[in-house]
Amino acid sequence: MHRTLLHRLAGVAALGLLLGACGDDGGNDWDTSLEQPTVIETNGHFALVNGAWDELELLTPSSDSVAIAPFEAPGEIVTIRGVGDERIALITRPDTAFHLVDPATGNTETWPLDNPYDAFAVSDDGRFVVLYTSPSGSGDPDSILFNPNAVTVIDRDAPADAEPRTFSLTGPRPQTVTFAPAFTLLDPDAPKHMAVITGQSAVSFVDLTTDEDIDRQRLVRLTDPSTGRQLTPRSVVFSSDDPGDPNDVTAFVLASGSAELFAIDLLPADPATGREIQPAINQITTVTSPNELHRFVIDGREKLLVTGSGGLDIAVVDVRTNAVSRVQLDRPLTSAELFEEEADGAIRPRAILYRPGDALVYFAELDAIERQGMGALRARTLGGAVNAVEILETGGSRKALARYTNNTGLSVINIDTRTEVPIPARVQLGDFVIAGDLFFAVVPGTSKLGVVDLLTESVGELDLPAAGVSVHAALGANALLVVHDSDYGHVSVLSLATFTDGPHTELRGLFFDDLFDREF
Amino acid sequence: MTRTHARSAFALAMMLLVPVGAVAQDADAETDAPAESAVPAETADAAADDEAVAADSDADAEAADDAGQGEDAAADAAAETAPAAEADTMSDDEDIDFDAVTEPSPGAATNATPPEYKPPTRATSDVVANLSRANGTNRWSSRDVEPNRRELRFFVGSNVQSTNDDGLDAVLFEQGRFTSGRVGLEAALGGGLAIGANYAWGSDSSTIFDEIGTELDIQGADVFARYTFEPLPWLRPYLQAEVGFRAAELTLNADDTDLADDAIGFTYGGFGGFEIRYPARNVSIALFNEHGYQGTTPFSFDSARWSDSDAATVDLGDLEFAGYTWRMGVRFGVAF
Repeated sequence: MHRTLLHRLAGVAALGLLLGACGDDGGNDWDTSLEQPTVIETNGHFALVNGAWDELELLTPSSDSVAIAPFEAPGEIVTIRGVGDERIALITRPDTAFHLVDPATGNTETWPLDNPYDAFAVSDDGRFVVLYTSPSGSGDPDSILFNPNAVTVIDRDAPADAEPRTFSLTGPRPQTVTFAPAFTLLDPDAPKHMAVITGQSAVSFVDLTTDEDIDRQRLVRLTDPSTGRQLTPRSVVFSSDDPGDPNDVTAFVLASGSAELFAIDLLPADPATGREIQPAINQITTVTSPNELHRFVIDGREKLLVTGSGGLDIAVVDVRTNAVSRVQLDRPLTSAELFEEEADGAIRPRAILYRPGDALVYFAELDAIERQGMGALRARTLGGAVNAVEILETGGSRKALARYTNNTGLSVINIDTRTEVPIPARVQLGDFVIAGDLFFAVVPGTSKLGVVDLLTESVGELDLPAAGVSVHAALGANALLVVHDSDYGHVSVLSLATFTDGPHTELRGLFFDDLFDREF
Repeated sequence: MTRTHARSAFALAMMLLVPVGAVAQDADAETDAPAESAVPAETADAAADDEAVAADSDADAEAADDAGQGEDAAADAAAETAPAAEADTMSDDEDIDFDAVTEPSPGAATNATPPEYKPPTRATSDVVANLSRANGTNRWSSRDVEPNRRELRFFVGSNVQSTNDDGLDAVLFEQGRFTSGRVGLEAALGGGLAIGANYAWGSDSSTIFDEIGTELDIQGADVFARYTFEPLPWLRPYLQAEVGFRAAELTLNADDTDLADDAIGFTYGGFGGFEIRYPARNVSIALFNEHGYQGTTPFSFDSARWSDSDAATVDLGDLEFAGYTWRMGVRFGVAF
């Protein structure tokens, strides 16, 4: 009897376990690791990129609230960044496509792509987009082969049914893509739109509008390939264009590993060749190890300021004649920030010359530096070793902000009076942003936000609900965004109008919004 | 009746009582019958033999049996085997002197006329049961399985519910399945109908995104109605319908801080199942196993708050429990 009873109980239990085991024991979709969000600022919005789920949280601050709109990317986000002040651009895969998102409306323009690009460049006017594979890109991870020289050009002014143009570059694989200002050659009514694509020891000028293969790319090698010498182009500066002069467009290329500046004239080609443009290259010896290249104008005459990183000199190059003036310095000055000021009834070019790590900066009168040498420089010693200088356009007066090395403080420089107010920090500052006349910096590990009024040089600090890791500004929304140290979306939004005493909007768990309704 | 016939009748009765007897053996301790009062087999057989003949004519024993007065009926049955003078002196309310029963006088035994054999009838099992009561080895009867009997029952069990809401996997340690407990009271009203109410509770936890702990606590109550069939005395299938409510509390723990919200949902369900029941005279025990569908209106966690800050509330979304549900447990009943 007992055995029968036990057998029956065991049978019931086994049946129950069998039925109970029928549940779904599949993989866990919730094991994804969240990531610290990256922030894209547009004019009136913030976009928090949730890389784990390929989503954006679009925040639109108003005077008393923050509207939140999630935006699901149509695929895995490969690259994303803001374009101008109004758009967010991104590349997605596996069905590779380029998208332009309007954060105000969520409207998206999409261009399907044939190649697994991971980088793009957008012209300043937003008309052209060049998609390419970055130097570290390796194409589609599911494909064996890929073409690193493939590029696709999107012309947003083209007819709606026009396909993006895809072609392969000759020469080295692309490293950077920039855009030349529109210029004219023989026909003043036919502006040329070109992209400058740099590669190892070479520069390509790519016509963005032509359908002719022969004119699509002009490759200019900076060295003779047979020598094995390797140069890395670092910056390209274009001279201005006079529509009446077909021979006045020159691209100046500064390259690492070369003591020379490359001047590439973009000239009308011989009609017999069937081409439109004929590049001509010249090498200009400037300074030892050129470091930075800046263009300025003196009485309508274009000049280039070349700083070096390996010697006690700087150089001024006349764009028209390629004549070089060298100025001997008493100490190396590797960087420059240019500005203009009115003097003697004319706009004069000026610069702040400095070397990162040195507290000494120089105010340079560029219109006189060729003649006076060191006599055109005025030294100032700042409150700390300078890391970078930034010219600010504050309300009514011009200031420069010099940040100290290791984020140990800053100096506010009054350009007009050549005076400086040092503002050292007792602790190391973190990420910072300049919003109008205000400087904000987070302090890692503390729930404080440092504030400097650049007009009055007054300082203060705000309490935050948690330590911040980065700070961002959306001037169109007159708002500030502080990202806190969290992987699930923790930010504070402050109104720039009332940030000193107004309420802060703390959004915590942004990535938890509709958490249980998500489809992975 | 021969001793062989009596043994056959007893065996038949025991087969019909399977597996009640197994429990009845264990339940002997509750009868308070002294071990030494057990009736020797020979005497019991003889008593059964006599009862088989006298049952129809013994109105007192039949009435007592119908009323469930087993001891009284057994006393009457035992009196049939005793000398007439002794039987007349015993009232129905008096305790039975089992020693006297097991040692009949030699004169009575020799003067008794052997009864005529009758084949076992349906009443045989009742008779044997009566004898079992009388000898204290089996005080239960298949008549106690009567579905019409009114009982007040307490039950406890488990509830395993399959879930189809992917969001629930964030809070369930075992994906797709939520286990809870149930405890309740019910009243069997007779005619196979029972109504009742239960309290249900459950809790589960998990970890998501490698660092965020989740915990879901649910409790609530249901009322239900059940109709029970009786194809076999010990196996009783049934159908059940129920409605109720659940209160859920969800907590996400991130960076040692809780994000929590409450929600209410209403439940509904229908089940089919069976119970294996072991009834005693006034009590019963049953193991039940039921399957069906249970649903809950979505829990809306749309205002989750952080425990340590005034940050804006978070809309976590909805969680919905609905799906196949399996239950098992045990019911204890008391007749009333």
